[in-house]
Amino acid sequence: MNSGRKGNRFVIRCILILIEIVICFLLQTAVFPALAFAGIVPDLLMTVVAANAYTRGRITGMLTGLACGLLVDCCYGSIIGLYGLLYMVTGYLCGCVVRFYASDDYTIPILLTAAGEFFYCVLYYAAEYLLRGQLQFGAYFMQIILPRILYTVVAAVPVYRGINSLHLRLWSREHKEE
Amino acid sequence: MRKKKFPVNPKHFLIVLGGLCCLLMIGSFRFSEQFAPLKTAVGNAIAPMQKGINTVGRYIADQLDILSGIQELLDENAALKEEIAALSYENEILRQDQYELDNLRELYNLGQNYSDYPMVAARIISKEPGNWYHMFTIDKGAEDGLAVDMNVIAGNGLVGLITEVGKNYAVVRSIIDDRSSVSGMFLSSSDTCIVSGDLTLMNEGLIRVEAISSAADISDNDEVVTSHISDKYLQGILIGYIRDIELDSNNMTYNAYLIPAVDFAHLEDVLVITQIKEPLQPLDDAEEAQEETASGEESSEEDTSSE
Repeated sequence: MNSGRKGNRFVIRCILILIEIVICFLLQTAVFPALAFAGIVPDLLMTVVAANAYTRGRITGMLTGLACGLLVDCCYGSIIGLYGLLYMVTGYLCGCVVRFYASDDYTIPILLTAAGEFFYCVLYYAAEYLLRGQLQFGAYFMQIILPRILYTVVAAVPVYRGINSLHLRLWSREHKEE
Repeated sequence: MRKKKFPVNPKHFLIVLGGLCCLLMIGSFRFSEQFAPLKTAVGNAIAPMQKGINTVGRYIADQLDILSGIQELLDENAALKEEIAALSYENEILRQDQYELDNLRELYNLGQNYSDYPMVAARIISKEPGNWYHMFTIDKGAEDGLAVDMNVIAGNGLVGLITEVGKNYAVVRSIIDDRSSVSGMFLSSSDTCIVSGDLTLMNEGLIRVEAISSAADISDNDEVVTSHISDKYLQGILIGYIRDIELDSNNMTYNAYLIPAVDFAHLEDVLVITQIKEPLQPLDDAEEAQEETASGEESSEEDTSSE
């Protein structure tokens, strides 16, 4: 009975995270390009990964990242797995901070999102540009990474707010059941 | 929490999944054909949702475009307004020209109707205050051969009589003026009447008609023209149309109202008939009087009313 309930919870969480991912993916790919400043779109998937990793830990962050990455891979990537790997590693690293989790703290997840985005962009640069011999990291940083981080941080606030409140609601329900 | 009870160490899990990703990358790189259906399947699932939400995005973007376009539109609006002002000014001038053309054409037609009489076209340059042209000044005077007591017509009917002539202007008293009275005649029955302006009727644009013989066979909308017995008005100029015929209290005459043929509220151009009805003269100074009328400079001024 107990394990069944746990399984239920697990499924509910998976479904909720998938819904979050799909919504943010749609927003990122279909809505925000129309609102893009200077051609930069906020990385909402990164905010989802960072928020889930921060609230639930390494495993969740890792799996969320993997799901996000594979989704992007299947839709836009030339080879499957690259984005998956990048998002997964980022999610895992963000998940390491879960022990500092506080339900009313916004600074850490926002910073985490910024750091995750930076890390992701650097990895992406390394995988996509550096390997092709493009060495102008400074220009890439100024033109792509920095505006992307800023825009993502702005977008991260409402996204984290939503995900955190969802997490708290689930958590309190689980504890009531126990 | 669930993560503490998770059976596998997250580190190992990461490594396994990372390895899996690497395998996927290599696999999809080597066997891209085999992976293509997977990508199309995901794309097929996502595309309709993107399409649906894209309309929302487009809508928001359009709204933002509208907001950002407002300043541009305001500038454009100001420029267009200036253009409209210039164009409407131009249009106004053209319309005035058109209007003038219409008026002059009308006058020309009138001239054709009364072509027996020599005429001079004139423009009204000032008038007494009030809506109706009961006393007004025209821009032709003695220099153009005008003289006192000349008949003034416009449109298709009688306007009035010249009462004063200057070098280059003349004052006209119209038939709706309270002091004016014209000997009229019914075109249908040749019964005579007196058409006299009335201050109280002026604002309604009507003229009083009196002294219609009780034997007259007349009805509403009969035409009234200037009569043969008038000593200042040439015969046969249309004055207007009769209406509201009533028997006077003396039971011997009819009274009625007359709607002038001329629109006195909107009078602009008039024609002056430069022929004067010859005044009645005593036998001894008939020659002198004939000279006077021929020169067209002087006429009898003692009585403004025609009858």
